[in-house]
Amino acid sequence: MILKESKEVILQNLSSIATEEKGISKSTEKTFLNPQLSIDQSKLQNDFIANFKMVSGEVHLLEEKGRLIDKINELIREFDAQSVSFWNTEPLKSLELTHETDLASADIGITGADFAIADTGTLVLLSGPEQPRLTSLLPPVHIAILKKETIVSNIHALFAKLGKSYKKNYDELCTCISFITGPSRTADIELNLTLGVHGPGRAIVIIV
Amino acid sequence: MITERIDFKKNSAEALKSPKLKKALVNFTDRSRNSRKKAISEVSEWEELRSEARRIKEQVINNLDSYLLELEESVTRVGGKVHWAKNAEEASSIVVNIARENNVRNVVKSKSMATEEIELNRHLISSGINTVETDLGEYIVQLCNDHPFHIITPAIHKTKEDISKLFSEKFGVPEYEEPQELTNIARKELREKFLSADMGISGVNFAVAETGTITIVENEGNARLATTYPDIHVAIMGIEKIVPKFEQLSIFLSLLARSATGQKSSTYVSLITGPRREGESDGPRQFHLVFLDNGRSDIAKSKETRESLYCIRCGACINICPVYRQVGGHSYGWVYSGPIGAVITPQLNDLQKTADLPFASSLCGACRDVCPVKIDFPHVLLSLRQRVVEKTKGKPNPAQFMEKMAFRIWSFVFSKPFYYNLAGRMMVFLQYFYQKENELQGLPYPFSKWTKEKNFPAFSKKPFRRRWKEKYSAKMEHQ
Repeated sequence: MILKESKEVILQNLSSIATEEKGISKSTEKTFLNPQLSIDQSKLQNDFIANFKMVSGEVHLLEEKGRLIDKINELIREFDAQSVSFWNTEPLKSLELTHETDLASADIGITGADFAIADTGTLVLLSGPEQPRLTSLLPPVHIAILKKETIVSNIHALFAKLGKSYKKNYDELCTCISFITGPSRTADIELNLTLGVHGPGRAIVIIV
Repeated sequence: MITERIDFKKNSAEALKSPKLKKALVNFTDRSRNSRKKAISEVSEWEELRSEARRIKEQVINNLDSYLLELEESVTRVGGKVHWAKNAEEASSIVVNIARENNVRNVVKSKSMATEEIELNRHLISSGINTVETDLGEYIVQLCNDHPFHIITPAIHKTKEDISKLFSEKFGVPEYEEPQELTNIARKELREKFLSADMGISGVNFAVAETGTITIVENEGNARLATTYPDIHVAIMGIEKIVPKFEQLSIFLSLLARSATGQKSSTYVSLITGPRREGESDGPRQFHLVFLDNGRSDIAKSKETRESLYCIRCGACINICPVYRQVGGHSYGWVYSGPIGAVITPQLNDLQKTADLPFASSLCGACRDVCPVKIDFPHVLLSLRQRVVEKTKGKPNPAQFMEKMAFRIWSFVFSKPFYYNLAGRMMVFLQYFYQKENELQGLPYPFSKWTKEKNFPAFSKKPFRRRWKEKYSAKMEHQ
């Protein structure tokens, strides 16, 4: 009962804003956002790599798709990982990896990436039944497989693309879109940068 | 809520005593402004982004009632539940009730100014619910029973030696010196808390009215954990946090990270739309969104100060403020510090108890220049000062009488060239006893109020008007 009352009190208070003020500031055309959708893909890739590395991320470039499993196995050996958890999507699905079901104890989490943003060095991961959010979060190492054609120039281009794929009505919007720009970081101790405070301390991208 | 009057002068005098603090403040504010400057120089359309963000915020606040209803509808559509809280107590009891109904024992929190504002931790803990702050800075502050020092970096007033000692005492580990080692200890301690938590509490950076999506921006990953791992997620938002359209998030996300920390993007941005859906293996099973008013709808009613609600809590105004740089966060007496604190604290609390804050500014306007939504801080501060003066009207106030008289004399003298000239010459004689080089010191009352804190520049023997005349007439003759 008390809750309903609060809602009314708040709305009543806000409704006293003069109606002539409510109408102002209608939307203008935002030409300055400049999504640059048709920019050169190799430049986008280079920008993404440079910016992701700048935030302590690591990047491996794969020229042929066939060698992905070798690269992943190489990284697993490098980290001496006992258990790996990964998204059950292509191309990971068809690789013969042993899956760790308990994410909290996995040494490495491997995911795809639905998009990436070049000018900030950001991976964009959409959640879904085959794309759990925790795979990129709980293990100390996160490896993301990124298709180079999914890199967009900037955040405005990304939102334009998301808008398009949801046909602007967002009824199918997934429960969580995660933007990931490098490994987990903090500067809370005397402004010293430290990595891996909560999320992965290593963020690795394999570009295919 | 504030119970005692905030004595800004006393608080800042206290803060100025510590050289350690002073060093940390200068170091921190310098670094923040430099990295912000660098980050925004890379964005050619920065000014357009600011204008557009301000326009959107103006639209939101002017129509907040309909946007709140739209947001409620969207959140409900995607399976979440909205709660309306008109004040701090109500917001806290909503959260405590959700916890009780679900037999929650352990809560993990990510950083949120709204929850600091309503003192949620105190309410949860006194209701017997274990509550842990998980942002590293907030965690350190909580372990020492202290208050956050800055909205972005809460523990900048603690040295690594302080933290090393603290961790050693609390967790029985050796006194590690390296920040990375300390971070690793915190990770281990806090990871256990996450895995045993039944409820996660977060703030909200932006809430999209059309989709019911809440956005959380962070660097550590604790907000992702708190909003993904536990079965229940409760998000608390000030009612001003709305963005109408999903695509408009790109504007605010571009502005926020660069203004706050000088990063191109924060490490993690989460766009959360409702609870876990069928087939998903993670994400909360319940999603609650609390709308916190706590005085905000009153701010919205005032045309003069309404823009205080445009704030996106980046902290750029704090880092640039010459006053904050000297006196630090605790001097402002409440959860919000710096220029935004001086503006918001008096409006969300009793004006009499917070009357010092609108005056805790030199009105230099640096805050307005860096604000990503162009809040006109000097204007808002002046109208708050006016409110303070009006509140104390009718009561005898000798200082006000003196000030009025002084300004009356001043306006008389300055509007008549003859008296102006005369006054200038008189000053040159009168200042003889107090002049030391080019400054005046130790003036008699009431001018002692000025010279007690700083020297006054001396009046020139040859005033500007005369120098100008000489130069000008010489030039004329020359022609």
